[in-house]
Amino acid sequence: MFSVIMSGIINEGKEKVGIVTEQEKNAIENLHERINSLEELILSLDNMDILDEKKSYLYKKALIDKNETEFKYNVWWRNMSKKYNWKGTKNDCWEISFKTNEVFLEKVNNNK
Amino acid sequence: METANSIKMGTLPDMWKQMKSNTITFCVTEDCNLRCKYCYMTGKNSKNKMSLNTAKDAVDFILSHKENFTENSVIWEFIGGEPFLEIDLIDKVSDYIKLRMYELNHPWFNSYRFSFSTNGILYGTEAVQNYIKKNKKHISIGISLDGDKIKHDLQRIKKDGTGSYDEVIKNVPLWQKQFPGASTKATFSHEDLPYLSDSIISLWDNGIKIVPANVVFEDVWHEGDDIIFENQLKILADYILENKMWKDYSVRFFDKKIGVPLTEKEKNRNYCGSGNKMIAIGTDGRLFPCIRFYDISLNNKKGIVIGDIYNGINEDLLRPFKALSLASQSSDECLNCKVARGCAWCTGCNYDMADTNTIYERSTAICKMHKANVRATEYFWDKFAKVTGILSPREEFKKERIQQENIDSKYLQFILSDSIMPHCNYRNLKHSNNIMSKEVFEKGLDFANKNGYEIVMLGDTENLMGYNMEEYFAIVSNEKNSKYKNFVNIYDNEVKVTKQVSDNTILLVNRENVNKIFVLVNDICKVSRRVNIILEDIDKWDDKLLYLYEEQLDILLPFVVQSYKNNDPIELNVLTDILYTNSMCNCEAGENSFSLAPNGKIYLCPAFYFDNPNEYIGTLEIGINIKNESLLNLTRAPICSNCDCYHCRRCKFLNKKLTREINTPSKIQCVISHIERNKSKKLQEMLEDNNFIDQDNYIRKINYLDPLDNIMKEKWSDYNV
Repeated sequence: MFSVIMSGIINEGKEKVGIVTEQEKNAIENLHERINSLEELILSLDNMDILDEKKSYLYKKALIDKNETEFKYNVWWRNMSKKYNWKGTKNDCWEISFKTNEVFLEKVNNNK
Repeated sequence: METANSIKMGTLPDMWKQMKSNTITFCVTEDCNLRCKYCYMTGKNSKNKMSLNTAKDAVDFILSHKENFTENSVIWEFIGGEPFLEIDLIDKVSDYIKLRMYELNHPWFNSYRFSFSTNGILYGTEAVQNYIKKNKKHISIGISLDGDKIKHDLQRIKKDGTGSYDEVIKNVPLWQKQFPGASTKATFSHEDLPYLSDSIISLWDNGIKIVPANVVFEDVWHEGDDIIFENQLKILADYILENKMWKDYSVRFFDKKIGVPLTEKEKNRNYCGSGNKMIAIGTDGRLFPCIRFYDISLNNKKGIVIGDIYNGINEDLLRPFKALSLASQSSDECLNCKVARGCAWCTGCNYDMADTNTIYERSTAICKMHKANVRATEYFWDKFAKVTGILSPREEFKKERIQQENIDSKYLQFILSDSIMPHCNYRNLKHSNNIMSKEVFEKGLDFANKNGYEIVMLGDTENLMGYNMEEYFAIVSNEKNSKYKNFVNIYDNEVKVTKQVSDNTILLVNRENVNKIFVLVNDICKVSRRVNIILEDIDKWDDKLLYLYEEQLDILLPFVVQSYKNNDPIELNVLTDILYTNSMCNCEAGENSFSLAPNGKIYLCPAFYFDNPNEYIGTLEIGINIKNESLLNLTRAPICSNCDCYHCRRCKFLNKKLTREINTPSKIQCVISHIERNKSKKLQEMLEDNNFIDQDNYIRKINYLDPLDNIMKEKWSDYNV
């Protein structure tokens, strides 16, 4: 099951399947933000005015960091879905609203 | 079915980490490619720009001073002039910020945004678009689009004086595609008020659905501008309602929460982040509480520099900003204004317009405009309810507010007849026998509902058969209550316990019965937990009665302590109330409580009606109009405002009767309150000794019974002729 985060506008009509605590929301939001930050840092490294050696070191470090963070991110979704027993099939996606802590189901034929 | 949550009208766009982030503003340039007429940055120039080295030093300074920036999130804001004139610099600085946050393992790396307010002209350029692609998930960009072309080009002009609308509008579709739901802050000044409704509609037509519009804070307003503003808003209101747009569109002007009185909590808050979670960095690395205190932003004053990125922040210079509250900068008129909520300010603008170099003088230049906004908001939501048939979000908000903030609840007491049993310092000594008619009663109910008053019935009357009186709260003689479910019993100088018993009671005690207070309280406490003693005719008390009263209070002390021992503590207003409050908790007659008499007129309280029916303060038709209203407020009571007899009733009727001034208590009132206070102090010690309470606010020892003696001593102690 894919786990997708939508921090923007949740499309109306999606089925709400659950809600997490504020602490749980903070954890996934933190991971989500970190992944975005690492992606954009990696993207920016090429043009930065720093030594190539440092660039290479930071690139590798950030890449490893990103993989580890993505792992934690998937673990969160797995653990929460087990804890709350959210509705969904193998190919569906879940989304979370960072505003309301609600979790929504995105059916497979809406996947982009 | 529509609910308040599904209606967008009047809401603001969601703000990322609202009030829970630090904002670091880089003024990257003092130049701009426009010369907007209403811009507060009147000192724009092409000379001063931030260098990359200064920007990097600023970043290092910020990241190494966590103690000054304690939030877990940060907004790195780039401003000018026009920030996109320096997109290359911004690009390099942003890269540096990301790098340094990562290297330092700073918590902000997991929670940051880059924010821009731009005039939009350079939005579509390759350099800006490349920047957006690189930082897409961390950017917030607001484009300033003021409305339709006429309105926009009236104010937002290029250096050659021509309008900028055409160049900006062509970038809007791209901006909306890249930032769905983006909003624009349309600003209105004197000249463009006539275009307001068309402007907002134009923005909506262009797909900008949420518009946090505002009027400028500066004193640019002419006579009659408030009426133009109000009329334009009403035209807009009608348009919204005709086209059923309240669900998906919004303009800030119709915020459901504006135009109600402030709560005490709100008065102690500050809604401006300047100098609190915000800091601005000038092109040369000097630090400011926010960009509005920057030199080129001010017309009449010098900028307030609070430090620089090499020598740090002068914390003392930030203290006034951190301590600033709505109350400490506002006049009494503003604090007590019945429509105060939502009346905004800009601390920087206040400073620029103040008589002296202070941030503590709030400008009232937008007073009339705010009131006009409130009138239009009432119009809109009133009509919304009629058009949709559902309770408007504004009415829901008002009801919730009254429930949550009990001290701000407003009450209208219905004096159902002249023969009611008094519940306070009044008696019908004229022996009149007026009874409230059905007509006055119904008009009174309508008035109360329309104006947000909770209804309190005083007494009962056969005249109102057919009305379901059960639903009302009542204060009524314990012998005569047959209808009310929710009531307070009154015992008039004797206790005859009946079946209708309330937990909260009133005990009237005249001079003849002072020596029976303990017995009366004891009898009441067999069936009720709270007794409010009202001492009648105290203007005729002498020293002998004061002595008797003290004796009775002394007998009551162990009685109260015993109730704590029994794990069933009683409340006695004159002894226990002061233990549980640390601010004045007095009669609110004329502030939040009013009385409707059988003659259809409104009074501060029943005492004023029974004393002189000509001393009314309003009617059901015209409403309430109190002259010198501020004299009812504690802040205008020089003796009471410095007193700590928090339980004192501060009876305004007795004040007026005995001293001629509604804000000045008589000596006997003060002496009685202080006797009670001192007995409460004794009670506090007894309860503490027995571990029944554990208090922080100890009643201190004093050596006077009349606080005026103390005030006079202090007032004249240094006086030399």
